[in-house]
Amino acid sequence: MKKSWLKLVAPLFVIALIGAACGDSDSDSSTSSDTESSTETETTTAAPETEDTVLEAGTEAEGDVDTEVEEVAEESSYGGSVIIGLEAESTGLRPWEDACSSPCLVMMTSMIDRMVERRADGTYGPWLAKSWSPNDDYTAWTFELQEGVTFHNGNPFNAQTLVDMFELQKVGAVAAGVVSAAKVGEVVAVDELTVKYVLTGAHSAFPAFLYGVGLGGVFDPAAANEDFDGFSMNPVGTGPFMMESRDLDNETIVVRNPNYWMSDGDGNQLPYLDSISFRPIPDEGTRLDSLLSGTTSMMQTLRQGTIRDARAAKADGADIVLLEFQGNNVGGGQYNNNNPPLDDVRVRKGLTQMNNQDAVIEALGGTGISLPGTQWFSPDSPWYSEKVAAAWPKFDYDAGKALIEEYVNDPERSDGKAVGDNIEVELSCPPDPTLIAAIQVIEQLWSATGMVDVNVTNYDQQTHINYALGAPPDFMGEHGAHCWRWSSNDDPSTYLNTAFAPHTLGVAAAYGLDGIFSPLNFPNYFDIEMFGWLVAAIGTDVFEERYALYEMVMMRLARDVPVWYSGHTATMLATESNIVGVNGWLLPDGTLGAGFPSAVARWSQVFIDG
Amino acid sequence: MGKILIVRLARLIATLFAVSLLTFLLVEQLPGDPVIALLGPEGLYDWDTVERIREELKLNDPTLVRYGRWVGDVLQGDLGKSYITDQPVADAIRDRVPVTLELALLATVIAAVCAVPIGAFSAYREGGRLDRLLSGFTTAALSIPGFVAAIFFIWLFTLKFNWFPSTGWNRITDKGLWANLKTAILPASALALAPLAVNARLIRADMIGTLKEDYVLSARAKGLKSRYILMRHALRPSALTAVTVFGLQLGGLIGGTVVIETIFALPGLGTRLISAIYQRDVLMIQGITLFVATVYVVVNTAVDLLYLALDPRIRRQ
Repeated sequence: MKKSWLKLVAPLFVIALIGAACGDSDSDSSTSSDTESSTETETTTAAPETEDTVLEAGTEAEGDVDTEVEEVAEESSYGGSVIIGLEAESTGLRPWEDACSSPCLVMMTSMIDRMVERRADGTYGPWLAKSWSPNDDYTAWTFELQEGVTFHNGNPFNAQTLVDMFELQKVGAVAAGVVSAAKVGEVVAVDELTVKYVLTGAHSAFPAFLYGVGLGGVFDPAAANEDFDGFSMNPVGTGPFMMESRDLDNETIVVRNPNYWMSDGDGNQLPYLDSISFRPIPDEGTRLDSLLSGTTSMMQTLRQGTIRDARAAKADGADIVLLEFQGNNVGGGQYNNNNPPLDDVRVRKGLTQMNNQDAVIEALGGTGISLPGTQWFSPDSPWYSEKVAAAWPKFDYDAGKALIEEYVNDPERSDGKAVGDNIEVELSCPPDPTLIAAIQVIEQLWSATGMVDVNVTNYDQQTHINYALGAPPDFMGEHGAHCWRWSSNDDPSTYLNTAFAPHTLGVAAAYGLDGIFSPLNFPNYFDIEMFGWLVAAIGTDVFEERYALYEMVMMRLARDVPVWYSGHTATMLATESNIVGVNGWLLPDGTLGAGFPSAVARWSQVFIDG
Repeated sequence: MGKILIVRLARLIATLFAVSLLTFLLVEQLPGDPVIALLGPEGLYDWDTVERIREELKLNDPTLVRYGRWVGDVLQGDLGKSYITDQPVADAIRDRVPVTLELALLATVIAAVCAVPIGAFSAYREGGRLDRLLSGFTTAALSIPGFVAAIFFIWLFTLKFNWFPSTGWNRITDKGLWANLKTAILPASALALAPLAVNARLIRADMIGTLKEDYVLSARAKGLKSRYILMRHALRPSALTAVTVFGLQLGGLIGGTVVIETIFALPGLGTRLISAIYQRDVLMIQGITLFVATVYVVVNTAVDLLYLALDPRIRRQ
């Protein structure tokens, strides 16, 4: 009896498991291409030649990782495919209409070229815009465009394209906000390949907005007008790859654009790869497992814990390359400066000084990966200031406690409580395990004073944002101490001017700034002098003058502490060792590109070695 | 029979109405705004656009007005469009149902195929060493959450043996059956673990009773082989409870694939539902919930009818 049952049971599992395992493989991803292409031959080309530049893409981290942008040394070759695991699916691929964060940008920029690109040294350089110049007061910017560029559908790219794009952008769900922030009033075609952006106010860093895909992502307006919704699934750009198939939440495949406008330094047409497959894999662990097992050949992560695990896997012998980036984006949080007791600088500064950055970074899994933040700029940024770093109120528990004590014993304390009563602070983060661990550290430190009652809350991302945003018309938010990320690698004007504009119409009116307000001022902090510096910084393009102004802004933040910092956000692209060119791509003028900021790859010059 | 069907249909409609209303009201209670998900932080700078989009999506209408409009559209066969992706909800469901359904069915098949022999054999060897061993296995299978099993399977079958891909989904229509099974077998196995254990225990318990029936003793006395007795005489009357539970489980599995789909990055209904909840994509949540509820109710109605077919005593009642 026993044997007969075993005969029955055993084959069922064996047939199912082994049979399935012997099916066609879909994981031999990176070494050959399945597509029939004339470029699938053994053609090899010399690597693009540049000056021997090595620039930091992000802060140097510990361990066997690559944080530098450097010239590609290998011989490039055509063919092959890359399968990349992304953090999330893109909700849409219309640059003017769909919100697009890091995983979306990885996909979108394979098909949609930007007007300008960012160099490794932080400046902006040519891409579809060949060159540009402002008028005397920075209220009009004229751009010369690349010649001979066509969209995937064969339509030409020219100045009129940008005029037609603007009609969609100025009412686009995402782009309209950027149009407002960039003060674009009109786009004029000067001639076939010359376009002028006329602004409603001065902006000396305007080209930075054409680096963002909301305003600078170039799409075919004719195709967009023909099928507005369908464009989201099948975007038509001028990029190096074209949409082949899109299976939402599973796999999006793009294939080589045979008519791409750009060549490498030797005149060989780009791109090198035949195709790229984008696979959203939300779970951090399985995304890394997918790379280690060969299911994918590349992955991205924005989590320090995953970077730590990838480093461990590499140390154990995994044949992968880790491309880490640590730019200006800095984690931390904001205090609602409008609500007592956080409206008092003693409380904000006291809480900040009792916040052990190193312990928080450790809880986030970022020890040895993420550097403590003191300002919105990382030490590698041209805007970074040692003076600000020295001024920022660092961890000093006793000093912080003394400030809280002073507030608690102040008869005029702003929360209206009796002298000696504890202050109440709501501390909120989205329910990510590492974030929860981090705020538990903060909560314990604050509570240990015996003077702070901390109410920890966790809301999902949308609720978290909405809670801080508040409702129109005032957008005050009901938050207390609220986890947040600050800054980006773009020009400081692109985010600081909206982050610290008047937070209500009433505040604007009180300072004679009628109509100028920003719902994005989440800390509800406004300083008229500081706002003046921010406005002055877009009225000049002299770097030293702008640097001095932004340094003053950061010094003011260090004094008033409307926000706090944990560490600079580390991001990573991890690849199989034979994938080359992710960190060494060039702009059309031969200068070195920015590499892989925020785990976003540029695809046109990526190739498979061997 | 006709009367039973009409009663069942009425219950089905009432259940679906209640489910859809409850879901709508619950989602309404959540803080958060689909427009924020739609625009991203940068888009919020231009509040005129935010207000325009809210008007376009009719988000400023009262809750019951919007619910009534949705019900009216559904009755005309229109589940609406996603606020976030603009994709018609019906299209999203159509694209994802094959994945979730296949996972649930495959998990049910795996559970059934494994549970029957495990349960029957345990019953046949009641109290013996092997019975204790199999009972230990079913207890362990019940205790291990599906997502833990999923992670273990990925570690074992992907990282160690490299038999299966850890993530992704090969559609049968695109890449054939074997390629499809290769991506389906691990998640389906992880999903099958709990129902397998439940069903094996149910079959064991029922069969222990059945094997003591006179007609089984009579069959033994006739000298029939044990396997023949188990499969032909004992299994069918012992399967009634399990069949009922299979139905409940299939419905539950369709809703329960959420975590497994997320871990294995599968493009099923669960993945879409999770995204929709995070994005406050109300129409997508409504559409998927309605679909899952419909399947659940229909499957259980079918199971009840199957129950009638299996047991003549119930039919006579």
